[in-house]
Amino acid sequence: MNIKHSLSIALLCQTSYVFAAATETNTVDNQDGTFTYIQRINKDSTAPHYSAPSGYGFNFYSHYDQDYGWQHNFDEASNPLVKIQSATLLIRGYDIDSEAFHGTNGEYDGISVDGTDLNPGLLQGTNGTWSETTFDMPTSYILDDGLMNVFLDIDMNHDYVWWKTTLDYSLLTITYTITQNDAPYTPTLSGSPQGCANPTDDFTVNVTNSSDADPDGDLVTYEYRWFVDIGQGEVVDDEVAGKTDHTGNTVLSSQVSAGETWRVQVIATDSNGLVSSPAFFTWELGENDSDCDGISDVNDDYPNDDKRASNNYSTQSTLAFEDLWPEKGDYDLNDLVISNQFNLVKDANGLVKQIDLTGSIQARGGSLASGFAIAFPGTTSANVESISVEVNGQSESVSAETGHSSELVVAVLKNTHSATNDSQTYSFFNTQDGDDRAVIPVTMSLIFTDPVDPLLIGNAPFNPFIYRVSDRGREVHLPNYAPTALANTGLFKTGADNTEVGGETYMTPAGHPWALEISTSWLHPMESVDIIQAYPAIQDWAESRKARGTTWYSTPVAGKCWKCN
Amino acid sequence: MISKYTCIALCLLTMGCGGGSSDETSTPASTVPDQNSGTTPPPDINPDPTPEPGPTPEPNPPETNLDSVVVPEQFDWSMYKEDEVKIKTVSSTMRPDGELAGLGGKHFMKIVALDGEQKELENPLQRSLTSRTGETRTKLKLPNEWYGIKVEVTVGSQVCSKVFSKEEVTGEIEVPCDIEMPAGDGE
Repeated sequence: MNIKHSLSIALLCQTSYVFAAATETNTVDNQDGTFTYIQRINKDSTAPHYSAPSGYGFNFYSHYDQDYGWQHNFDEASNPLVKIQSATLLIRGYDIDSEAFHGTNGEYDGISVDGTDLNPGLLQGTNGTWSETTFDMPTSYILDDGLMNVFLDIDMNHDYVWWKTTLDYSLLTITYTITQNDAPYTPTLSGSPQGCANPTDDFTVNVTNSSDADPDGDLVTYEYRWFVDIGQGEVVDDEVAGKTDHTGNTVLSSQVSAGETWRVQVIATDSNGLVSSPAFFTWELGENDSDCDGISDVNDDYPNDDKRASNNYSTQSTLAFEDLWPEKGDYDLNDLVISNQFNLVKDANGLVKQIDLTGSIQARGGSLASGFAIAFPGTTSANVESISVEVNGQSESVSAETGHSSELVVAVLKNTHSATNDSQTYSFFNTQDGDDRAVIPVTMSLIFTDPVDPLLIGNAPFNPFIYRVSDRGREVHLPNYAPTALANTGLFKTGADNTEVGGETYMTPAGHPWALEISTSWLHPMESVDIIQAYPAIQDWAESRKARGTTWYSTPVAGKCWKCN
Repeated sequence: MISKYTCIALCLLTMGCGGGSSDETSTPASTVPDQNSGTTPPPDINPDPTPEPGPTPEPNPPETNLDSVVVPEQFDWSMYKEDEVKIKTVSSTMRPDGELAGLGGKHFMKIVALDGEQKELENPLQRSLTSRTGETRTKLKLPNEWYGIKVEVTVGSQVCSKVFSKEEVTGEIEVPCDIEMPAGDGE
């Protein structure tokens, strides 16, 4: 028997009960070895079940930012002999405008228990009427600690007052028995087709552990409940969405349409009536969307990869460093010059799955050996699926640097000196008269296990820095960028530095930097030529607070910068 | 001005004060003199601005250097405008409070950069689905010489777009779509 139908019968049997005003908890001996536990929470309930918020909650019309919760309990859960035959949560509400014809702009009120969304994914109802939505309560939610924290998220698709609803009550019904017998194992499912489906496919789900379905060897039957999302953003019972009320293991293609999401819930019941936790299998039907990630193929840079959807390129920029920090340098800003462009490969939800760097060492005007690294906030080394780096076409062995617990640090170039030290004529690289060697290409591909929020990881080039190979703690960052955990903070405010941890960083007391990010490709100053000599307009740019000289980096003085004669 | 004199003195003394010092991993001696191989930090020099008595040779005019730039307070040296912004897709239906009602649902949103001549750059800055409330929150980094961005949102078969100057790209911005919302329950 379908769980929904079972519930309807159960509710009919309860109609003789009169609930008290406060939280009503009753256990009825069914005289057949089973018991039915009923708990109803409403506006009169008190803590710990429900603490009425001021002005909203049960019996109040409540809207999008008046979400609230309540707690059901089942104390018998602590008895290891208590085994569940059925468990449902019924929520009765008024004026729930979740009719499918509203598309994505209906009233969709989500229900979660212990932080996990239930199926169906929202309250099912109609305008101006009382509606009841029945959820199967997973037995694991009950038996773990006997507490079920329910949360109502009102009008999930709007962040302003649009739809409102009011709830009458939340009714938990558990039918259980006391026995040494154990419930069946949670079914393991195999769906056909796998993954992304077509509207021409029939959907079939099979239980793959049916030969070992019950720890006691009891015979087991399976109950199927089907849900579909026809464009509302959450699944509802198939019959609520205007489909056939499926109760078997198959849905025919005649029932499905492109763009829909179908989900089946399977619960095993043994010969003693004990039920398993539910198992789910979901089919996505792309609409001109081969990988069903929600972005149509025409807009998808990775139409067959549901973990990737778009290439998002940063502007090409140039990083220019002085390497003597905390002492002042000669301000030629060429001790290391790296051009860079990043591609943030994002998934359909805009989270960063992969970061690709395409860059080159333009110049190395320092005689100190420096490494070049990038700190990525918002993630850690534990979230790295892979890192690959190539320098001048040669693969380099690079992994996340250890010693950082709150961010990910990748030493892209462990020694820029060795990569640029191929001349018997020039001690530097592309900073002296006549030195015109090909720039050294550098690529990096960093793949995350779990995609990262772009607001946390920030924009390219993230937090790039150089460090002294012989003294790892001596980091040089862009102005106002944070040192990493391996920076030697004892060097702050020594020499010419005026770094204030948590404030301005990597500048002198007069506000002069050790590094710049120039927002385009750039011809760096020649060796020992102060940037002011090579690009005089930078002075007006800085002193005018960027009001003038915005493109100072494109007006060099001939002969003062590399290849700008 | 002390810093200017300091640097002039330093440059004369060290012939370039930022090329770095040598260490065990530095480049071996080369055939060209290493103009940047100062092996010690710049000396602590306090130039006395008082001229010595008697005739002095006409000095060469001092070259300006970065030290001579008077940096305004809290100047960040960034060549970008970087702001977190919430981009909302709104309908043509008015809310009771007079604002345009946001279009719920996940929509495809594309953000394209516009250069100084308001031409679209080839590679979009961002393409992704909005949240279920039709919004995207993002942190955009726009070079100072750019004009701004164009945001395109695909709602069903309709493409809605709006251009924003980079000064407008801050806080909360709206992309309007000529789509009616179903009447809500209101206040």
